[in-house]
Amino acid sequence: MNRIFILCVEDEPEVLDAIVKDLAEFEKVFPVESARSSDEARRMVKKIAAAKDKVGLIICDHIMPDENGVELLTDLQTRPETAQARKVLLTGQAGLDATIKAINEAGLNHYIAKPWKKEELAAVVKKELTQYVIMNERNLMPYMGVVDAAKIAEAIHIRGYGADR
Amino acid sequence: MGDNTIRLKKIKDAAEIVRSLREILIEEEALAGAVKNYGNDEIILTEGKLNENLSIILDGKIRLVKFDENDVCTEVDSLEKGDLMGVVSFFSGEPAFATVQTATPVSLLTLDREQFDRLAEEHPKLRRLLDELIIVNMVNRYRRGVRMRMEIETLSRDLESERNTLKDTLAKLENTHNRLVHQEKMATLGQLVAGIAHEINNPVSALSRGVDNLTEQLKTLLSEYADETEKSLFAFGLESGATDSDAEKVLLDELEKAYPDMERSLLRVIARTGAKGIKLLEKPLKAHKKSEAMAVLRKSAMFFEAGLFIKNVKVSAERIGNLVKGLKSYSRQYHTESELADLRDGIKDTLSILSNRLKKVAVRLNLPALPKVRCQVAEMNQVWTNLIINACDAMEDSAVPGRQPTLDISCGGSDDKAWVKIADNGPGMDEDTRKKIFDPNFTTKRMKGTNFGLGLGLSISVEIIQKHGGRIGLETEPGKGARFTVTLPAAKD
Repeated sequence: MNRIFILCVEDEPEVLDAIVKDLAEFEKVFPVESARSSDEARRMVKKIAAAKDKVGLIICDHIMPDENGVELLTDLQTRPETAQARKVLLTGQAGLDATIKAINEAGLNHYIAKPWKKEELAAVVKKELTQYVIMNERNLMPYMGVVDAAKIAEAIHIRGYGADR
Repeated sequence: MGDNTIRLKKIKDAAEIVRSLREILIEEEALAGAVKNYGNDEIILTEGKLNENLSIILDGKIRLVKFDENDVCTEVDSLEKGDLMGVVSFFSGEPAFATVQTATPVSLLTLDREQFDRLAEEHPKLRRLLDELIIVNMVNRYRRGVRMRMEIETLSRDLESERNTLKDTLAKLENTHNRLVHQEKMATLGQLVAGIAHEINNPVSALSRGVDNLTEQLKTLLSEYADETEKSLFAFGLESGATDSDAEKVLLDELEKAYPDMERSLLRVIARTGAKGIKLLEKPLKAHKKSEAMAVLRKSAMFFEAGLFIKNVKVSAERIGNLVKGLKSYSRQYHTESELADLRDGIKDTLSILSNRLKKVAVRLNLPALPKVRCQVAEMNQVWTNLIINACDAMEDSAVPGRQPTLDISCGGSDDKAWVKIADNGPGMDEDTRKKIFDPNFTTKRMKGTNFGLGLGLSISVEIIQKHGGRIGLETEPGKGARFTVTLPAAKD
């Protein structure tokens, strides 16, 4: 169906509720999927791919049972279904080493420290989704309403030059 | 064997030889002038000078000394009655290898080369005696050399032994220093933790009480201004358990299929209300194309979410409260004396404090009743902390994909003792490591950023346990994890 999903990975249910609630404004255009563990996250990625949809943004906690967030993101970076997805760590506890690994090996795009303010999260999500659609979508119009309209307009303009050749 | 042959079979005592010599000398008056007498501390021959005389000590003691490059004087040998002086330089022609000084008044018989040769020729018996004397002297010197060599060896060994003792003492000192630093740190940490715990207490109380009051007030308001459906949905929100991910996702998928034009975020909340909630919302759902129905659905969703988020706040406030309680109980800032304690409480407090560290670990508890122990609870908590963290580190370092790190904690006891066993399924230890694991400054932890072992933890734990009159045992094999058992004497009451 070609929808672009935001995947939230967080093992604490109350925190997950809060993240999903904060993303409600984006769901008109970018549906949100949630996962409480890295295993569930992988299942959701498969489900999304099976429905011919895409993962545009992954917001991931770090400390989780089984695999931690950085390991998950590093793995997802190597998979075709999620290699293009923007990746954000939302965590209270990634140490320096883990963060460096996330940047160098997982293509981390942004790091938000917990506790977060809704405005901060919304701004980051907007920025990352804008980047995603500009880099991955041919038709940018459907996203105008939700992402950074100015950047979209600019991108369309620039592409206009390319198409003329 | 002729007269001129030196008979080695019988070496006479040098004193005896000198006596015979004197008798002969008394007969030979010509040699009377060859006897010289010296007082105390007189230098007879200087090191490095050529020596043309062979002397025999008739009486007194002589010392041989050498001076080193710093002019420090060392006595290298001493000669007494019956000893020959100047033998080496007389026969070899080399300069004297030491300075000769009298230690007491000395009487010397000194023969120059001419006298010696004449005497030897004219008195074969004397010659024989002199030869024997020379041999006795050489043998004695050799013996002295051997004895000195032995003394040097003994001194060397003593020195080595002292050096080792010093090394040990230094190591012990360093150790004590590290322990003291560690104790200081723990004390400061304890104070910090206690301070923070107290600071947090007040806002947590306000939070808990606030949310309870809020809940009651909302309920009251709702009973006045909300309809039955809305009141029920609020209640469903308040009661909702942890998200049942899979079931709710299935519900959400069904709802999306049934109502493809409705907002996913709204459908998600409706799915969350569960079967009961969806039943209540059947009518507006079916009529959702109409704007009034949508308004109803949105409002209903809000009531549910209000209940849900209040529930979340309550749960979170409780968690903070428990953490703080756990912290205070764990650190026991105000109980520095021994208490009669159920060890299980300390273990549970410790597990609560470490719950973040244990997220990846399956913790299995088997904690039947056990006799109470008289102990410093905060110190014993340090021991549990140390053992549990070590287990976590070991299991983390050697993570095997597919194998869940597992911590098994059990306990038990009898009339006179209580034990706690902490077992992990990490890599275990080989014989070598097992022997050294309790040594201070020994660590198997690698340097990983800020996570490195100082090796103090276990040795301090051992001290704490021993201070309580207990013991710690370790069973481990490579590949089969490690099991630490702490045994403490039960309180006698």
